[in-house]
Amino acid sequence: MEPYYRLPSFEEVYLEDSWVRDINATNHYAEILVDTVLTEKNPQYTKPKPNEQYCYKNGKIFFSGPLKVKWIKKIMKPIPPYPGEEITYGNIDSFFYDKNCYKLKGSWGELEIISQEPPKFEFV
Amino acid sequence: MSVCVFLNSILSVGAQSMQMLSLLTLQKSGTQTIQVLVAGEALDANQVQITVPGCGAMLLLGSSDTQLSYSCDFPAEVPSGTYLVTVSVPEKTLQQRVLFTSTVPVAAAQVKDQPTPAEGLIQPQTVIEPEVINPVKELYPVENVVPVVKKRVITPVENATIVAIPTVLQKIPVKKIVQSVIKKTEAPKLTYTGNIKPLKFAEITLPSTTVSKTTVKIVGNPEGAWNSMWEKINLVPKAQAQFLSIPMIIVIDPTDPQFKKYIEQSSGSKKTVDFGMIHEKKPLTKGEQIMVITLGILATGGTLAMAAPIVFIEGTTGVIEFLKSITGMKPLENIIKGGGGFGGQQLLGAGAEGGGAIIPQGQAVIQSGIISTIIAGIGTLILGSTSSLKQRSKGGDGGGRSSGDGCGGNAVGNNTTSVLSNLFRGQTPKASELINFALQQGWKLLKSETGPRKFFDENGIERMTIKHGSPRTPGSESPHISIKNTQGKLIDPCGNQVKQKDPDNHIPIIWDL
Repeated sequence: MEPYYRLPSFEEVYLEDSWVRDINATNHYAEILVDTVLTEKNPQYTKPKPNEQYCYKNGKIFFSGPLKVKWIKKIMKPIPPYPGEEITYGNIDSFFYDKNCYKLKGSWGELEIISQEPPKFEFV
Repeated sequence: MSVCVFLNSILSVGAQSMQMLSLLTLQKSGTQTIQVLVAGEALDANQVQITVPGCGAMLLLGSSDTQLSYSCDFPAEVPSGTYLVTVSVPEKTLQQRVLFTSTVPVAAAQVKDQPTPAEGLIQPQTVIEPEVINPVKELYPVENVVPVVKKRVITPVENATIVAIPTVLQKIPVKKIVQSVIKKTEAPKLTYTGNIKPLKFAEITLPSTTVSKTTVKIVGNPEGAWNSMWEKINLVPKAQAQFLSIPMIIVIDPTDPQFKKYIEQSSGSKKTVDFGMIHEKKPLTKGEQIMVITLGILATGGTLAMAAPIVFIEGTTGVIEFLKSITGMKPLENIIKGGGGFGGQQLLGAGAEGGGAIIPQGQAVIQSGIISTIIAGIGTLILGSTSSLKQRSKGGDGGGRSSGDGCGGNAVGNNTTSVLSNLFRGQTPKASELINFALQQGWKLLKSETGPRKFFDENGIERMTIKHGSPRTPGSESPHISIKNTQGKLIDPCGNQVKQKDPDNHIPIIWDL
């Protein structure tokens, strides 16, 4: 099992404390919108805003044309937001892969995705 | 030219300082000049503290062996009236020198032996019945000093200096004078002083004087803020106070974004607390352990320019917005870190009448006896009382724990939060301690091979997540936890809801698993 940050385009993001804003998953498509923590080496990294722990940027993790998308456990219960705060569903607690099998887990549930193409991370 | 009339002067003696008090009648706002005359040996201006309520900035204009001149700028909003001028120096200094008195320029030499305030102004009502003592024998061991008795020199020209030397020295409590003299004030107004650069928070200059009884309305989650601001202080020998001639207290600037955030998070309840009553119930004494609450910064620099303490005249009600801090004194610690700008001293507390607490590097010194107006003013802000709360420790072994919740009452009524907050009070808890805590709550541990340890309550709510952290990005390198309440809201250890991205949702712990 390899951690997500070994994947191209994931090297300079830190998902364990990033916040999942939404997940769109069908049989052949998976997209996870994430308020993403950036590492210092990320070109878009800036100093954290006042009263924020990290540098956050909105991004998405997406699998284009996966062979299989399976909710091992689907929770998707939003965290009661602080007034004025966007709804999120928790962090990506773990994201590992083994060959073409990708497993993501968090307070929002657990996803298993089979894909020939590795996922990509993009800013949105 | 406004008219200032020197009325009389009173010299008082305390264990740590001596004071001379006089009255100043202000007819118009603007710059006033106050002079302190020195008899005997020269007095170093740095050893003199002079305060006038309502004076925005007190600047030392010049000094000689026999005279110190100050400029006092009264903002337009300061009402006319009679104000108390206080000059104080360390007692040690006075024992080597002698009498001094205060004068102010006058527009017309109409001053008689008794004060004659201008028509329409507030009449001073000093009703002190002092204990008369022999000034020479008891206070001034210097042999070559000859006290002047009942002598006033009045030069009948404009801007003349009136010199008055008190005929007797009087032991009088500051409180008594203030209550009998000062009748007017205005609500506190935040302004920045020009000579002191603010750190994260700001200094303030306020119309002020000394009172020992102050009613302060606390706004913004007082239940949570109240106890969190208290700290236990270990008092140190009085001798150390001699090195603390520059008192400071810490200002919480209500305009500070961090402060605003806390206030915004606080909603609902309001509470009125009579500080003075608390003071009077528990005067401070040397060797006692006290709690202090810090509301503002008072600083006096070498020029004696100063940010006056936040004080409210008796009978008025001022509003102080309390800083709400999830870990007790967090914002205060921020200031302490930057304390070098203020000479590295922090005055965290002062006592009630007759006492003051100065804390260098986390220690407190109690000054007993009659204290300066400045210190007494602080005493109205920073309260003393007994406590079993532990002082927050920095480094070392963590300094122990408190029997209190550390959350200012937020945790009261919520045993879970109370216990949890105690784990964080005074030290950084270990992961194993948090696990024990979680298990004691009956929460179930869910630990996957690849994820953090998570604890769920009986309703399936994810209550606590323990993360090891990662060196991959700044801020995540150390172990930390995230906590939720029974509704699943993210909270700090005190039970206050926090934002997802907030550092308060990223609570450091020690990894010992």
